[in-house]
Amino acid sequence: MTRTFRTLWQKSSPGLFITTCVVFLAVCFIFIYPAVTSVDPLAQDIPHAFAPVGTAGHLLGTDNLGRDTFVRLVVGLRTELIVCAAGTLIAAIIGTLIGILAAYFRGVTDLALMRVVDIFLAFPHLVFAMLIVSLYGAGDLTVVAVCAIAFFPSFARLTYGEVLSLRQALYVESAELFGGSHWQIIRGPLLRGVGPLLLAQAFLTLAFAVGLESGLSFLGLGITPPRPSLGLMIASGQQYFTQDASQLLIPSITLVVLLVVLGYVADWVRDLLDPRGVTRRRRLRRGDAVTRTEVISLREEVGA
Amino acid sequence: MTRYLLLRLGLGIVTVWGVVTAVFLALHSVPGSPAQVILQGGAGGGDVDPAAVAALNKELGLDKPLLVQYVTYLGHLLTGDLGNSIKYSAPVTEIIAAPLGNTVMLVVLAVIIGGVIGLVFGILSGNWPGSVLDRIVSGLIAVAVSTPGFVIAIFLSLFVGLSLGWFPSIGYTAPTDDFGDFLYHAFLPSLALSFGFIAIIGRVTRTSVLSVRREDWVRTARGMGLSGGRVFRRHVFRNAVNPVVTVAGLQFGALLGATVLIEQVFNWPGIGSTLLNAINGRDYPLVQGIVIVFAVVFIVTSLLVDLLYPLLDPRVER
Amino acid sequence: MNALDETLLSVTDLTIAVAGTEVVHGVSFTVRPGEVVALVGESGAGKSMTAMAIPNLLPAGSERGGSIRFGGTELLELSESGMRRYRGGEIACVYQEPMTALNPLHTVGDFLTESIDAHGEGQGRRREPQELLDLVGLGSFDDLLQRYPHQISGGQRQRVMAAGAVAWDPKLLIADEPTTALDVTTQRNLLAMFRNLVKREQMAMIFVTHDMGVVADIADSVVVMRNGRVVEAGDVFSIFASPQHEYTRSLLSAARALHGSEPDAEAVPAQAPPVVVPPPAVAPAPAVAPAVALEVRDVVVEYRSTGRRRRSSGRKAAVQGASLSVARGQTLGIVGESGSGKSTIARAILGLAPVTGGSVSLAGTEMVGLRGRRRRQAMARLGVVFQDPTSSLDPSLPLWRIVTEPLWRSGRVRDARSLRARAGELLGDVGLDPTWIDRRRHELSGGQRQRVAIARAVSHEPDVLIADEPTSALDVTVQVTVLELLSRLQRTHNFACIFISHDLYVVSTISDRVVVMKDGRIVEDGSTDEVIHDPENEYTRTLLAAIPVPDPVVQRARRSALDEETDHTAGGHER
Repeated sequence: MTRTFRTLWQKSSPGLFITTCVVFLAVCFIFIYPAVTSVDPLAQDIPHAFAPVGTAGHLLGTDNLGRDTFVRLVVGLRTELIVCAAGTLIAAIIGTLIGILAAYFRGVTDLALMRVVDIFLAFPHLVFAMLIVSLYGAGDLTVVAVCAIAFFPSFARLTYGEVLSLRQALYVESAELFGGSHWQIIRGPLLRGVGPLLLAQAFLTLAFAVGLESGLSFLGLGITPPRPSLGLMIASGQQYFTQDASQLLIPSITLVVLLVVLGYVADWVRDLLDPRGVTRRRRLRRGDAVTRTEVISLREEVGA
Repeated sequence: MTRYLLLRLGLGIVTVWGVVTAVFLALHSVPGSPAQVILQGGAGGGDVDPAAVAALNKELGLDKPLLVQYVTYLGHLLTGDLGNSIKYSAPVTEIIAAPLGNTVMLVVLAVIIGGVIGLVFGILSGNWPGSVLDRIVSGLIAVAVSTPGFVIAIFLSLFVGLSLGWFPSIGYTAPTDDFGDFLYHAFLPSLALSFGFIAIIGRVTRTSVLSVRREDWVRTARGMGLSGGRVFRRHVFRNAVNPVVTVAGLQFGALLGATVLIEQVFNWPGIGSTLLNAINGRDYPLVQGIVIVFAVVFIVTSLLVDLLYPLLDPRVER
Repeated sequence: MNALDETLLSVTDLTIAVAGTEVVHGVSFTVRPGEVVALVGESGAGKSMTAMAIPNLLPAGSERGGSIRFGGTELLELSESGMRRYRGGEIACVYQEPMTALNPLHTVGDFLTESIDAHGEGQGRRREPQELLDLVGLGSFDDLLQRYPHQISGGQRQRVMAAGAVAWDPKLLIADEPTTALDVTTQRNLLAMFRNLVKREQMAMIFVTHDMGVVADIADSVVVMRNGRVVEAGDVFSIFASPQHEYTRSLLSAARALHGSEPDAEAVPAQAPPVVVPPPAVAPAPAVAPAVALEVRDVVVEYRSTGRRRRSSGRKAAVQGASLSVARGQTLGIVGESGSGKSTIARAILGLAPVTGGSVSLAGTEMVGLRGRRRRQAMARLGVVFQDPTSSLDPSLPLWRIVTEPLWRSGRVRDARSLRARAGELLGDVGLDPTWIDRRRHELSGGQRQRVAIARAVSHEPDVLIADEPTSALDVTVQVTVLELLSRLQRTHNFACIFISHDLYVVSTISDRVVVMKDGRIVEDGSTDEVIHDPENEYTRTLLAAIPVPDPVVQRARRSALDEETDHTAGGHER
């Protein structure tokens, strides 16, 4: 366990590693806290509405109906993360499958599948989401479905492009020669080649999904009120801005931080799983100690 | 050249058809007829008078078999008829014309602002990677790309608009009345819209500049004795700009979608607000019409980008 | 002042550091006006870096130390703008990869105009782009100036680059492996062009190369480098006749071994590393012909251009009606230049190319049209080694998985323990350390990777081994050892071997029979001895003549005889 930790540490830049650890801990907290405490995000306390940050019993103050902001934040984040992660996962599975099949088998499969992808790509996410919500009503499941449908095309495109170029790689060709069946090849070198990118893209998509969901709930079309969600909190924060600015600032900052952090995690994952990428050489310029393999690759680059 | 053109056009038409069909199916996949949904005020509403449902069914032509409806639907579309709005009792095309124009103006402004700033950021970052400038710019970009448009819109409208009062956060003047005033009111919304665009253009430009800088022909140019500026303009920038143009073109459609939220915040009379009202009012023909327009615009822009690319890069097969 | 005595360029104790690490350590040599100096070495020698250090075209983050004096000026003390006056003016460059060295969005005319405009201010008579094209032998082409780099051939691109370089009559032309990426016939013409330019303009050249044959052809003096240091320097005739340093000797003996020129092989002193020269006659013609392991008959390979349908007249057959066969224990060499179809035919045998006619029969089983499980079973008799040792190994797998791939992929052996044990054996067989079974691709050098690829190819005891340019990407000394390895493995395992290469001499060192291909057809077919010493086909003779002999006396005599036949400076019709 410690060895994996140390290899992880060595392989990436300190900043990213720490950020990811912090994120991991935060996520754990978000899930554990509501489960172990008995706080209720819906509990109203109107006499104490708009309590300032730091009031006893209300760490981040209360909103217009006296509900504790901190609790609402945590619960809202949890719901959002679950819903968006589910949507992202489904999108990843569907998209990857389509991308691999289209790029590997080419021909008619390619044309047909990628046309479907193109059709869905043509819908701007929010507009499409609004359409679906208007038909099926707002709610958690709708949001999951919307995320899945909105984001599978980018996974499909990504895997499609990657598999297309991987197919040309000699080691994939020779896998076929050495007796690999289609399924074996897909499962083996293709999936391995595509994996790192996929994982990085998943985090990015999660960020987009959270953005989409918060946009939807800002319009009142996402996670059903009175259950908390960042978008809803921002909307009401905007409404009561003049009375208490913190109720707008807190959810907004949380949302931005969440998304920025997800972006960094995506970068970190990509750095980590790419054995010798460009990022290695970028770090050289920051003055890190240069290892022998890195100098060799640099020299190879120059053609010494 | 013509063959390529026709192929892309054909694919575009197929995609439009696919979109249109998908919307049709979505609308008709809701349990119970759409008329029922309309009268109920959304799925899962209360009971409605079956007679009223039947009457609305007949009026909207929903009592006919699905295939017939589909064909009529396609037929109407081909003639440019998007149906009639239930609420306003007027053709959809008339209703969306003006708001669409307003929204497009926002997008165009956002593209101009965002494009210029994004390019500059990307060039600065890409030319001096790892420098302090690069880190600052990359950091700004990371934040800008992560912040949802509506959050930016809110902050702009509240702080720059309300608190500082430099630009108005609400209000609208038609461009035909007073163009200057129109721009004055359009500034904040399009600025908010441009943030995401800046981030994406900045990123792509940076990556493109970074990779082009390392190409062999740049060394050849230096080896000729050309000055740094000359090398950059003719051999780095010119080559790096191609993928950026492609991405920018594709983003047009996405920007169109992002306007929905921004228009909410700034009360801008664009197609986004029209859509939202239509959804809340269960005005399905209007919703359908707007969604199709969005999709078609996206497809048309990517078609234009596809056509533009061979002009930019002689290596692409025409 | 006697021009011959005056030194044009004087490099003294040059050191180059990249990202803090020193890669060139104290290199010194001189160049006289009109002299051609060859910087020779294998990969990693630092020869390119040394050459590029002169006009300071090193990558960012590099630092130079020592001294580079050019005509009285110390170049290391010049600022960037000071250096710029020399670049493209008195010091010009041509580079290795003509495709990427020219901006793909600029036409040939744009490029030449830019080279001319770079030094506009009163530097003598201003040339026109068409004149420059004439100088490099491209004058006869009509619309070359409007063409883009991807629309002209590699040889033409290189000539265009040279045209741009000589726009202002440079005193020194630095050529960084300009012919390495090109066919040998193209190379021969380009060398003639360079020699012509040197003579006409009294231009000095620094010619970076790894090919001793090229050195013998064009150089006046030689600087041998290894690991960032100069190990030996001198005039070309002395270096070849009596090399002093051990490394120079090994380079020369490897070059001669690969050239298969026997008189030189005998002249190699006893301490030199063993030379790969198979016994000239492997065995007397056997009474019973050994069993044919692979037979290819009238195979036609046609590629349909992807996407759009093409008119059938537009379809180019990559291979047209080729036939060959090879028996166990025998090696067949297939030689050709780019576009000849030699790799295509290999791919056809492997089932990676669309075969539209003819038959490929492996140990009696017809391969064309075979699909699915039966195909996989038949394929189990084949082993393959590709040209690119990097791309053919999966970067995310440990060596023991890579090397036993044919075994576990086909399901023959499944458990990890036996696979690992077998992997250790295989690595040992190819001269690698068996404890390396857990290493990964990026921890190995090019030559080591190729050994792993070879080990993998024989791991399942194939009947036929197909080696598609297995040594082309490797250093000369490494090439020799890999060829040795292949011979040894063949003697042990007795497989039939098809060896594909662009170099006729390399092929001849391990082949029993040789087949020469051109434009998709087989134009020559015979035993190695026949093809090398008594070829029937004109093209084969051209090929043989084009490959430079690593012996300056012989090579220079040959080339002047050839130059009298045709004027190779006016060319540009090659690939």
